[in-house]
Amino acid sequence: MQVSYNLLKEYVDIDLTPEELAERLSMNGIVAEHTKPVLEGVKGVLVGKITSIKPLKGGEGSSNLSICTVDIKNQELEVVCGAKNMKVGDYIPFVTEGGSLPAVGKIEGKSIQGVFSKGMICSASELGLEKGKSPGVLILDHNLPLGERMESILGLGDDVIFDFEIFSNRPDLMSIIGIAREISAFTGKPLHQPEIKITEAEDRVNDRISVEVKDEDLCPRYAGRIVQGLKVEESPFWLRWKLLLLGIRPINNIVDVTNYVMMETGQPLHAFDLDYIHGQKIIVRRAHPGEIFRTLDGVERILTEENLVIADRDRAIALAGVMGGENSEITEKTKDVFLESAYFDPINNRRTSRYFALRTDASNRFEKGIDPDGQIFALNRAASLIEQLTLGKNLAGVIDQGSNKLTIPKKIELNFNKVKRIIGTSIAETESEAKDNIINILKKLEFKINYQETHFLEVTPPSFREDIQREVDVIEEIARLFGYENIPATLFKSTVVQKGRSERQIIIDKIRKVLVGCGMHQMIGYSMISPSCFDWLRLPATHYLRQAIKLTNPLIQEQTIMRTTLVPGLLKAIQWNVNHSLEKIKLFEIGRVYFPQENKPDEPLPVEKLMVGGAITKIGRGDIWEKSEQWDIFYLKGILEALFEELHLIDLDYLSGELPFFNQEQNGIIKAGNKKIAVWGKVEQEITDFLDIPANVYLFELDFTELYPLIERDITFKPLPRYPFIKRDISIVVPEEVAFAQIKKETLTVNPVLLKQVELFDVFRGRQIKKGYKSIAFSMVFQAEERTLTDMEVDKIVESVKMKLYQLFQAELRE
Amino acid sequence: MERDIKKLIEQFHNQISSVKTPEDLKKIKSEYIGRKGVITQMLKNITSLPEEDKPKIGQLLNQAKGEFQHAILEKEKEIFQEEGGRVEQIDLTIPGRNFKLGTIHPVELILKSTEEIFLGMGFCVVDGPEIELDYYNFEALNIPKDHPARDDQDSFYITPEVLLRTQTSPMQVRTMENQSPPVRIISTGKCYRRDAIDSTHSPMFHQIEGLAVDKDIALSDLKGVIIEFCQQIFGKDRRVRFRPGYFPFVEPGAEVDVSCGLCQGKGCQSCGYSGWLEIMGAGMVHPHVLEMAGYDSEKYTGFAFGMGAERIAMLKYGINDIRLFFENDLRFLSQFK
Repeated sequence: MQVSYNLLKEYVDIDLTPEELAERLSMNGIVAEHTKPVLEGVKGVLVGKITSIKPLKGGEGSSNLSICTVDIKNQELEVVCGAKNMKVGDYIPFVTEGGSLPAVGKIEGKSIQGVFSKGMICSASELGLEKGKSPGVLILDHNLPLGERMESILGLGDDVIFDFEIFSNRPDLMSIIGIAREISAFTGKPLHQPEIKITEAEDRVNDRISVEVKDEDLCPRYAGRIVQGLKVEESPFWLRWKLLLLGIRPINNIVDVTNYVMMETGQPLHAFDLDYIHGQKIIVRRAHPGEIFRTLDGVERILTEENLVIADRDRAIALAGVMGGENSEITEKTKDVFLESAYFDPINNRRTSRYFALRTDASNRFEKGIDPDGQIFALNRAASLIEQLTLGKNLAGVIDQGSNKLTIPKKIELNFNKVKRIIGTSIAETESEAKDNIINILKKLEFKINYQETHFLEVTPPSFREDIQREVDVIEEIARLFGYENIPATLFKSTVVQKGRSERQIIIDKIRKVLVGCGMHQMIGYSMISPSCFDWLRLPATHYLRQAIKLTNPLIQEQTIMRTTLVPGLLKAIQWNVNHSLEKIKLFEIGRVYFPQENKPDEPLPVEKLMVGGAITKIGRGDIWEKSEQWDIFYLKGILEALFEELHLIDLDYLSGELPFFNQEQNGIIKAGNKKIAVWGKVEQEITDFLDIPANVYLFELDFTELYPLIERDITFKPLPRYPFIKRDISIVVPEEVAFAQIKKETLTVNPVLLKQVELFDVFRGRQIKKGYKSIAFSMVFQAEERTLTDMEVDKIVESVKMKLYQLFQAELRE
Repeated sequence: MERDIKKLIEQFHNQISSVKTPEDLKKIKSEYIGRKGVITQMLKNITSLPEEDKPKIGQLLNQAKGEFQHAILEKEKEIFQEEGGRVEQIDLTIPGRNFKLGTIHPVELILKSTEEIFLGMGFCVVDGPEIELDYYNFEALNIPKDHPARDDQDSFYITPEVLLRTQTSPMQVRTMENQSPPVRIISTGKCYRRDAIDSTHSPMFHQIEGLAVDKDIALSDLKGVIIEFCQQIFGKDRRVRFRPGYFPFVEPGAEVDVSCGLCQGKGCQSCGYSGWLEIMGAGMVHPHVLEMAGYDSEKYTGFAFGMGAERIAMLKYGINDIRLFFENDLRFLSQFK
């Protein structure tokens, strides 16, 4: 809601500066988003008078321009002007050479088609008073002092414009009077309501028109007046200027009055050309399905039964509360006007304006709920202004359909104790003082005190405060006027013991810490991805990861479905970092993926699974130490093993997997029993090539939901061994296909009691080893709980190990 | 045996006298007294000697070992002095083998530190679904289907009744449906709004939600708790201001500002010359919301608050563009140590 300081001052006495006012209002819940001098950026604009206009002849097609002479009191200057709306004798804003305008900057004289133009005649938009381009220059009032700088004219150039943010529950503040009323409530200064003076003609409005409201639920109140014999022309300067201060473009006196009264009172009005209302009848009805109607903006709209229209005998003439129709528009020829002031159902109005994506100043107010008792006041105010401006005559009487239905006064009980209970403080020293303060505040806000008892009172909020529905709403008003800043800060009186973080959250935090400890950086990827990710991840058409949830109204093409895996996000992040010349990239993410519900038809919400993903890649040589450190599949596995160890996850099986985005050979899954808890591997080169990543990427994704139940959190101390251990190394040659895990498993089973550990320390392939074989060297640790082992005992076990490995894997000892 | 040892000693002295380099010295050292050195081996085998020889041989061997150690040490010094500057020097300015730790995402840092602060005030942390029912996201929060407040939260829909949550506030209702008072919870997580991406808007962001319901909770308690939070997050010197605000699920409603840290509240470009930065919405839980969740609104009152984690992070760390949070650029991420 845009309004100016001087304009507000016409409605309420203000002894605060514009800055102080904005500050006070914001502490009362009305925040000025922008505050700016009315002529911000305007310098050297003088009040000028046009003394002659002649067409500029010269170059081809230049007939649109004219040469004007402008009197600025002491001298006359010649300028070239493109506008058409001025005539000789008009006062206009004139910026001289050296002056400046907000959007244009510094003005310099220049030669246009042979004529030297010494300045510029300004339009409202050039002065920064209108957002779009104004249709012509701004015609000023004849009473303004000729040659004076506009920015120094009192009451005009010294004004300040506020742009207030209005909460959607306070449509009453979408008006000058509404804001003035608030100012009056917290400053105690009197409010000045506008004057209404109507001289009614003898003819009665009821004889000229009848109104029938067919859908009273959508239009509980419909009021109207007729003004006859008026002349449509440009509004006087004072009205045009006020509209500009309110951010509204002046059109003609009739439209301007309806707009101004809307801005003044918050009640939208509409004016119809009476001559175009067929059959002397207004019908408020739902549109016929498929009914075609052309709104004022020239767009033809196909209506449905959900849309309310104002119609005459034959056709729709307005989309109720949203926009009028071309067929009954006010034009220069209009002589008689039917003025409408109605209350339309907020929900229906909102649906219609949303349906047509047609938000207007009127619909913006109707949809939030205007004062149900404000129709007649606004109607009369507009009728009075039109009479004053046009010499038109108001017919006798007012059409007012359904007047009482909305104005049944609400009765709300307010318990004094409740005020203290909600706010947390008594708003005064003593109880009786507090009561007085409460009553005083409510009266300032125009609440009616119906009666008062010892502990409570009954109030009726003013009709324009539709947002006040129950006791707590009244308490907010008291808190607001008392001032939130005056409420003390306290801490809970009671204590509660809560369980803090859950096991699950503690473990998630632990995972995060371990991965950070492994040198990985946490990332956060978008939950919405594009299905094209599945294509470059080479997932076949029926792959389960493609069963993603779709957004019905995505915003951009890259984000149309919900991710089913963290993999594309990890790879995209690697790609980003590679593109920005980063060489050592270790990222992880802990985030959700989303799948449709499969076996639970009663569960309306999809499945959300928490996943832990990580990816590493190293480009280039690295520093002094790193050059010897490979970031390969075993580096990644090291991270995973560190994590599993920290989570006390044991007995995991590393099996080969078949995800299509991993390289065939380095493609793993990790199982705990029969539960698949992770996938890991080397990203297929075709994919890294596609993403322009010039190095191998190794990646894992853990399913936290599967992992979580397996995690052991308790730590149980095991006593330290009392007897020394014996360590033996052996080195064997086995065929390539024999996996170390097999060797380890079989070795351990040779003597599960004494053989405690099997640790790999070397894998070797080379000239001494025949092709298709590898040498594996590992150490075994032997230990007994109750005695010192002898070498002989250990030698025996080692022999059995050698024997067993030979039998199972043709393992030969390597010396 | 004794003779062997004497011979060994002689042989050792012969060899060491001709040693010139540290490498050779090392070799001799391991040959004689290393883990597999001669002396070491002989000492090991001492058990197999006749009982009467053991002490003597043992003594001899240990004497030899001591002698060798001493000679090697002396030779080491000698070589070091002879070689002078040619000896390998350790350059301590060479960087260490790196143990670079990773970093926690700045949004996560804010979520975690916020949780910690509220855990300290007796709150517990709860999680909820990101894909939510329209009912919990809007209706149970006093925002029916055609409410104008829905304009501020343009939503991504999956079906007409299921959407990506636009706020963490649904957790207020879900918690109250499952738990009777007293309640003190904090819930954090991703939220989504149909806002085009720019430097201050992102279709995905994180929110922090708080709720406390009990018999005697007042607006003044909200002030106390929020001031405590702000001063822990931003510093003790920051001032906190409450203004009336409107959110359909609270009444009275409030907006909370903290004083600008850059200008100390004097007004600068980053705070729009107001001296204040808006950080959260809050208020007393609307009785209708309590009632819809099955609470007796005459008996219980409560407060709720919600804030954007990215906004808090931007203000705390001086980040000027929300897009940085989701680009996952290491130059950005690695700053949050």
